[in-house]
Amino acid sequence: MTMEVEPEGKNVMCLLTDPEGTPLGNSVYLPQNTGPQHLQQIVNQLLNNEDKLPYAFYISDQELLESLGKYSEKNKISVEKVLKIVYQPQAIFRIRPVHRCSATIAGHNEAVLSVAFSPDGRQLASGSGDTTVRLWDLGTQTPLYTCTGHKNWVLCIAWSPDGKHLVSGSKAGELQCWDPQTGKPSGNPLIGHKKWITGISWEPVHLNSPCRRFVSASKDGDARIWDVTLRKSVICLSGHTLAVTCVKWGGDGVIYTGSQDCTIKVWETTQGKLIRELKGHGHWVNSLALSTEYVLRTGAFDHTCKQYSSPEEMKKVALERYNKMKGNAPERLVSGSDDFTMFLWEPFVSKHPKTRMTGHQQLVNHVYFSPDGQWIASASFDRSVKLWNGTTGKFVAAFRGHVGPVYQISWSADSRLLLSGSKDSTLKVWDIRTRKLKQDLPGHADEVYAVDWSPDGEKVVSGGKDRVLKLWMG
Amino acid sequence: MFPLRALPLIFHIAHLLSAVRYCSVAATSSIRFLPRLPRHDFIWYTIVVCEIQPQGDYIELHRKRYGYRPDHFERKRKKEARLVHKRSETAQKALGIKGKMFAKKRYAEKALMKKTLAMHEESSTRRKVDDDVHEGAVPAYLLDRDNTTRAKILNNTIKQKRKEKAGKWEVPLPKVRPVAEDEMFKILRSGKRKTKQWKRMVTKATFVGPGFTRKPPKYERFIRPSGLRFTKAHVTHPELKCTFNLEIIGVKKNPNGQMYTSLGVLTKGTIIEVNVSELGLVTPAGKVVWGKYAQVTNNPENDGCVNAVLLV
Repeated sequence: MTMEVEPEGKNVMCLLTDPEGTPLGNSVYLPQNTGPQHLQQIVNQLLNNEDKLPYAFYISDQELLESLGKYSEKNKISVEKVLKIVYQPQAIFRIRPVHRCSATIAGHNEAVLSVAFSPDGRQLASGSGDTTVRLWDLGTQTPLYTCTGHKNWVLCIAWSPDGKHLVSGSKAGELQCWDPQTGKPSGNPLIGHKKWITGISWEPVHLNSPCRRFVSASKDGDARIWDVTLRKSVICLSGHTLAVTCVKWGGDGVIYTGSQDCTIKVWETTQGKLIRELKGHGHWVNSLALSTEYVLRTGAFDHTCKQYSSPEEMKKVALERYNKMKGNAPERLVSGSDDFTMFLWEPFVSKHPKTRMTGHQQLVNHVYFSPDGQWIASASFDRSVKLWNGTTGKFVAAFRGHVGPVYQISWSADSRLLLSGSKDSTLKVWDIRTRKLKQDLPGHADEVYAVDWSPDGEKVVSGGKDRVLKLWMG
Repeated sequence: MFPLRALPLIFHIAHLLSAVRYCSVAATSSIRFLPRLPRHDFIWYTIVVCEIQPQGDYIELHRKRYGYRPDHFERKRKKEARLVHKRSETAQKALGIKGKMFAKKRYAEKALMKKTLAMHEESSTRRKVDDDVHEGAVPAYLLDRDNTTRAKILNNTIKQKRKEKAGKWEVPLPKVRPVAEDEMFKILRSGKRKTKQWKRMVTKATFVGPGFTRKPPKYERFIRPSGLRFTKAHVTHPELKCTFNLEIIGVKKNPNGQMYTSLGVLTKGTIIEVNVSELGLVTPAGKVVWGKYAQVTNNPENDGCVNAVLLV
């Protein structure tokens, strides 16, 4: 109808490009009443997609929500120039935001320090200050196994990307591997670190299947690679002069460690050689995130809940997913620091940062790439969560609402929602599209230390100082 | 001419000589004429004279040649054994500045001794790694940070509201001494002949809100002296066991009566509302708690400050 009303010939010259800037076809004249839906059809056709995929469109980092004509009127776009439209593929599934607390499970008798869903989203584990690791039954929402064996607070837990192992690290410096099916420890504790464990990361399943190796970071300044079948430390990565705060095993088979000595080191994993040192931060490095982190964590599992029978199949699917996620761009790394800033690095391209992301007024405690790598979210002690562009590192939005320091964040699998847990005892769900608060989730009686959104998107789990584990649902 | 180690000794002697010269002068004339030499200097020099070391090393030389006296070690042991008694005698006898100086010196010696003892103790017993499980577990990202102010959720807002309605409080000071009116107020006489007696001055500490405007002095019935006004209170959190200097928001209830509440009189047992926003307390819904009630625990008019305990 609008076609008839509007005068003919008022077309806009457009050029569609992908997020990296590669143009899709030549620039085309599009009628002014073209909206995002039409553009979506065009892109699907140009890309020869068999199933229609959803896309979002951005003009100079602003999402296009109305028709091109209205947009150019509003923003006074010259008709003479070529309008550059960036298309961003969206997740083909949609995750419902969590609304309510479905269960409050007591069990731990000290603060819950870490929670994690298994990569397939069917199991849940938590580590606590009462020196136990607990596995929970998600169907009945009751405690399943209590794993005792640690000597001190269980600070971190990590699932292997194939879901067959669970590793926990404690304040006494020992690591323990558990069998999630029986809740029994598999073997004796792994001893080697002299101080507490600060982080654990597994080797990606597409590099090695079944999962055997993982890396742990410790306060004593070392990172160690362990082998769960040999049950010993294979390589010790030493070089940091202060505590290692964060460790990530990259998808290309390198290990990134961030430390309190203000550096990030990149290690090669066969012999444990230092291949690169990234300097730039003026204070402790608190947190690292990889653009491919989510796909590395979930391995072969995606939103369809498909199970795989053999490790080889799993490896193949995981590699496929990884390559699809990564595209042809190098892996990006973001580091959050005590100097209130973050750096975006491309460690394979250069040892200099791509951008420095400034804006926080307090230290940055946690950074996290969205599952599609398009966004970076950062949680800071200045009570805000900030959203940044994942490729360029430009500031996008600040989510304010928490009244205490924000401790942890977690993305939903479709990258449309962000969850944050804070010292002010609440969880908040933020909408990335509208950049507003979607849901406020009060309920905890004290600080929230750990949050996690299950990879299948059904549930959210949170644990904190009030010793209970809370499950939230849509 | 002198061996090196004797150099400080020479320095001492030089001082000594000057002191002796002064002393000799002092001996001939009276001290009054020596304003250059204050009295404590004089004492210091006499002490130096007492501690005078043997001049030269003839004793060492003698010992080298003939050995120690047969009873040397015995005497030394006895002298050392006697030393404690001797010292205690000095300690008991020394008076005035001498006593003070002695005590100070002895204190420093003892502190040093204790420190060295502790150091030896530590090195002898192998230090154990602190591997007990402590209370108050924190995640790894908070382990290296010292968080001094610990936010504590006070999940009794509902209770507080209910109590507010019922008007009954379980407070730390359940009973207070009733304050009579003539103790609370001083009658001021006014009028040309000072015959009118309707003005009252509050003799207790008061809280006057920031928006208060005085009535014209002629019609002002109650005078709250500005010297007895308070805007801040030292509030103790009973669970955190720490005290904060917080702003007073208002007087909630004075147990002596409604009139005193409206006047903002702060006596012992008064319930006041304080601004706790800087404590970082949070309600279960994640909002910052702004005002909380506290009970005054001292007599502010006597102490010059308001002490209170937070009602949680």
